[in-house]
Amino acid sequence: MIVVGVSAFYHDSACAVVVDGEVVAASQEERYTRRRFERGVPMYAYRSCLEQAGIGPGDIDMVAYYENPTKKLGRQLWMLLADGGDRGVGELDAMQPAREIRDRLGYDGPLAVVDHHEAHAASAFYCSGFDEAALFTADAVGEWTTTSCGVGSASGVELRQQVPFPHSLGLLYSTVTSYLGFSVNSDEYKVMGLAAYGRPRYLGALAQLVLNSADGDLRLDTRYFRLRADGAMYTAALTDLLGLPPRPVRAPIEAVHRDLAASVQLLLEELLLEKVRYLHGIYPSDNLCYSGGVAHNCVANTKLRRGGGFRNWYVPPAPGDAGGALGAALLVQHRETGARPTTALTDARLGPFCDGRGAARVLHAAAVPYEDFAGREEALLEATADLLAAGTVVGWCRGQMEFGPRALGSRSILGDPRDAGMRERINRLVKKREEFRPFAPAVVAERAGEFFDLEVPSPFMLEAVAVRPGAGLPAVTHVDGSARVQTVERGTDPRFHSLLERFGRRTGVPVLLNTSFNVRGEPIVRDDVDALSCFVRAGIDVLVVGDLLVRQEDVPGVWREYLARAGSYHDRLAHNDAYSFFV
Amino acid sequence: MEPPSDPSFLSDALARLLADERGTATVRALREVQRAVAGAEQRRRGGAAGTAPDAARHPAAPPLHVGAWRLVDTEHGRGLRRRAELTPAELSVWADVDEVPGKGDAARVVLVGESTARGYLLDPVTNPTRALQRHLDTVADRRFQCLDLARTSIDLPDLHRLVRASGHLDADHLVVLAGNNWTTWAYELSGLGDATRLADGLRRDGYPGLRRALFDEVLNPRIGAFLDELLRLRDRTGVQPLLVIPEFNLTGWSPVGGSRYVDVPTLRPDELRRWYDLRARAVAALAAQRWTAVQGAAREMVALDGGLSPVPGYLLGRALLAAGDAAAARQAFEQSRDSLCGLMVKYLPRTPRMIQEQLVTFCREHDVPSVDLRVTLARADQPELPDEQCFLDYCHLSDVGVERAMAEVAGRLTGRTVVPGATDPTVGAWQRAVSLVLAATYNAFCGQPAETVRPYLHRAVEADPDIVDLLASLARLLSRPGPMWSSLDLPRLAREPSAAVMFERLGEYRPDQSRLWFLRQCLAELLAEPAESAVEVAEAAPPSEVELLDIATTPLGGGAVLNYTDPRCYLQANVPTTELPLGLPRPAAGCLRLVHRCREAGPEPAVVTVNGTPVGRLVAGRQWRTTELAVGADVTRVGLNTVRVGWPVPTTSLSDRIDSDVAALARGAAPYVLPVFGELYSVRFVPYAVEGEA
Repeated sequence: MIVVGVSAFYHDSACAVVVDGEVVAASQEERYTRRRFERGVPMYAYRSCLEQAGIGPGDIDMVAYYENPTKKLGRQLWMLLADGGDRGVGELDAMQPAREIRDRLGYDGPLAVVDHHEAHAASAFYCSGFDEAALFTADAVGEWTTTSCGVGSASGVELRQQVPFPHSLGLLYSTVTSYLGFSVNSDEYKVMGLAAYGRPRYLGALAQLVLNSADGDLRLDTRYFRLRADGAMYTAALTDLLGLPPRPVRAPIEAVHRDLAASVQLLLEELLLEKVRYLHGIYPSDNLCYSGGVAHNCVANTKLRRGGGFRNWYVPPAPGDAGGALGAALLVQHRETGARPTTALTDARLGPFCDGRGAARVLHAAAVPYEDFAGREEALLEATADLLAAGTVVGWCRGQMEFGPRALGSRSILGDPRDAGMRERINRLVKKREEFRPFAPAVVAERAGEFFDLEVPSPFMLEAVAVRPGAGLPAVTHVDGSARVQTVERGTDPRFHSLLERFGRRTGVPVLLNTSFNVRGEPIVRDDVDALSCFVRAGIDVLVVGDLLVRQEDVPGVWREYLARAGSYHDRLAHNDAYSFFV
Repeated sequence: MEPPSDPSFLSDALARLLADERGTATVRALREVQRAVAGAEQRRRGGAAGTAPDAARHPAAPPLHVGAWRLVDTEHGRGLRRRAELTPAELSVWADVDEVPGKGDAARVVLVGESTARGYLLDPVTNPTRALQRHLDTVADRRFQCLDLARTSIDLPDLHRLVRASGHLDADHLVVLAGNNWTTWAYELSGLGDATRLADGLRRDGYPGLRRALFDEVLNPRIGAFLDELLRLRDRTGVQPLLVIPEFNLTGWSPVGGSRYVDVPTLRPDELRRWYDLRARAVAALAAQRWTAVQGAAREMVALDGGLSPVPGYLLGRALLAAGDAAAARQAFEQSRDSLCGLMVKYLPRTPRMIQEQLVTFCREHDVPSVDLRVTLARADQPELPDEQCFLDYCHLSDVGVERAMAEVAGRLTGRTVVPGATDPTVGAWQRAVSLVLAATYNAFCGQPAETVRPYLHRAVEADPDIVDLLASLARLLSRPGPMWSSLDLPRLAREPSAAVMFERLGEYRPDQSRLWFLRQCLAELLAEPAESAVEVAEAAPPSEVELLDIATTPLGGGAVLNYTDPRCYLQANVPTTELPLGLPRPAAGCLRLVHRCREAGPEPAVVTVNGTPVGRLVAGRQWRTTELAVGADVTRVGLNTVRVGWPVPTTSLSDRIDSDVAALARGAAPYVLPVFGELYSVRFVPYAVEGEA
């Protein structure tokens, strides 16, 4: 049976294909439309996933949609009516998902709807390889639910308890994100990064936002929240409570802002820990599957894993809404046929393939020198390791694209983590992002323990752990001594593993700085032409695309000039300080 | 944990009642009412922004900015300085002017309008404002200062705001050269009221009713309000408006051919079949120069389509022109031009006769001077028709057209006779040739056939033979792989001042996605280059597999949609022939693999041809199917090959289509309007392996 999962019409729309219980393809629409957090129906991801699966639209047995539109409409109506106003509210259209899946994807067959948090839970449980597990989800809101828990077993996914909107851990964190002048629904990770620089001296004040959190429940004091699509997410009462004005967008970040970030991060961790411990109390399984947008918070994740009471745990590579497409497809497949994956999903490379042939044609036509290592994999890896060890920044685009928000060695920018100046260099050249945000390391799994205080695999870069003293990795060590680690197994990604190994042979450190291959404000590159364009614009030293190696000094200056001008047509970033869950 | 509180259960119950098309429309209507009530209440309390009449009684403080500039006070009066905060994209649609000094003792002329007023394809080499300034400097006995506030793609509301703001510019004259974008703007349904009017018109009288409602109930009042603004401005500030009535290149623009233009909206199946029979007959008669037969068939087509197709009018116009009846030909061409306006399907900007007449009537009734380009740009030998030499495409003017138009405007402003030159004297031969190359490129991009594109290239070579070097650059740009920005020819092309905007924008396209196949073909002919030069230079052998639907590879493929509905991940054929280009470096045998669906077809199959040779049929059916067709090397050729799918006439129910379009309008979405002949999800050419090749 072939089931296609779809998530759309909020943010991070995506598509996934599951064939006879196995995940065959998944990718996010933003990589095709080149609009971050794309919310439209995933028509390009759909085509790409079907292509990868080797199927046509007539082969699909069922499409699974990741959210119940009628329930969502109920919550939207409640907000609309309770609010007594209409400002900033988007279209309320429960027919949109079915209509657009039929009309814009051209799909005529049966359509199944899965509840939002069921889809989250399923994306974790069915990919975990566990026979049974306790399930925990947390995000801003899906239909009415903000947090849920339940059990997964041979009979499927069953969510037994939920916290209703507006009492939401995700909204709580997003509100402070908004208060700190960052964009909601995208910049929460900046708050997490900033938190390490501060002292949680606002914890007591922020704790007053939470009226009750006993027994897995959560009740927020809604006087402090303004949950509408227009304007800020907080009320003046929050300003009074904190005694601190909101930080204007792009204003300097001061100590008080760092302290507020530290406070909300600690509050979130404490609340999550409370929930997970409660869950372990009522479902004392060895295994926990955790998903939802809050599961992007890798600092909290590690604390939950260590302190939550579960022996094993699994967070999928795309715990947010994109992963809902995959969860919905897996859940429907299991319900319909009983088929489900038999092993854990440890490889996030579920997207389209990049072999570099398109880049070769472009380079050849423009007479740009490049080295073609086709059939000489060892030589390419050796050459790249040499370059990295010499301090070169490498754009690395090979094989299948990762599913989820992290670049895990297929669409990555790589650098030497031992070089203290590397972080600043990549930030200046490539990322142009806030200096407080750390870069992450990738490490061969078998030696991760030498460098990091990490006792389990972390293949999807969803754990933040301490860097061992003396590890000598300043470019990937955060101010608090932590790092957001990706472990790379030889059996999962032998090519990337081999590159790390070879770098390790040269330097003694089988670790690389690994950040996503994109420039600020753009999605991660998808194909080789995206990679070439990003490489040129960003001024990365070397590009490895497929089997080709290209050096920046060989690139015609007119390319840089054109792309710099073209980039200026796209450089206005929309700032989103309002929560857009209405639309 | 507690279950959700009671109000949520109530809203869930309400949601279940509203979770269908009717419910969506109901919610939308309720919200519109809520907004309207809130707005009325706010106005009652006097809190709303002043309406135009209020503003006339209580002139507002000067705005901070006008268009891309902010107002500054100088020693010679109010001037303008360009706003630093605007992005290059925002600035690129306005004149490239940093500062405008105060007018001093000069009379200030402000020119506003759309891309025609901006001088698209000529600017900054020349543009209407510069030409006007030159004429005024030559003939006037006082000093004039012309301000260029034209903005590419400006719509009616923005134009209205701009005109209102220009009241703070101490202007003496306001020249308005606009109208081409007004109809398409009205498609952006601004509220339920508009959508309801359109839906009512559609329900009542079908697509003619939709069109009538759009003109009469949506567009006309807005145009009236805009024109009233000009009068208010005149009364309040003394600025004298002058309207330029736009003209369309009636004989130099073809709405027929290819699969990029709308033929006809949905008709009853028997009528649609008859309509296409008549169309074939008219086209054949035109080719055979049987003018009377063309007229008979075309008139019967109009009777069937209610005047909502551009095809019969165009064919009729050609026949009448050939028969020597220029006045009747004009009528026919105008009917063709206007047929789709108001129908909410895609076509390029134009001013229909209804708007032209509204402008003329306004000028007459309110003693507002005007320049009617229908007269100014007329051919010398057949004054009923516009002179094609005055245009670069459907509505944008050549330097000849700008020269003539602005001479007339200068004459009207000064009360003197201004004799235009044969061309704009400030535009050299090279610059004229460049503008014609840009015209060829733009016409090709707009989907015009080779017969329209080719003459622009020849005129460019005639204007300046040295232009062939630029044409060779363009040919190389279009025949290379990958995005155009990676071509080293792009900087050469973009170096031309008037070409920069077009080629900078084209830079992100890949040649096979750029709709410029005809241009490639024409360039290869003109430059007498071998046909294979029109194919990617890096391809020594046919690719192992090539997808012919550009929708498969890029969001740009969404442009295949011929109406204003959202793009789909597959192609819906709204005309009976789908044409797909296939570039080959040499003839190649292979397999055409099509994934297709014909949900509204009768039992007849679709026919697939390659370069006119039938290679197979597609069985009709509601489900997606894959069909593989063998293609012999003997039917392919070097360079451009054309795969055509000829679809049977669909059996779409007109009443079902109208019902679904009424529902779409009710939820604020665009109606579909068009018939669907067939659908293609994928069309791939897979060359057979040749011995000795990898």
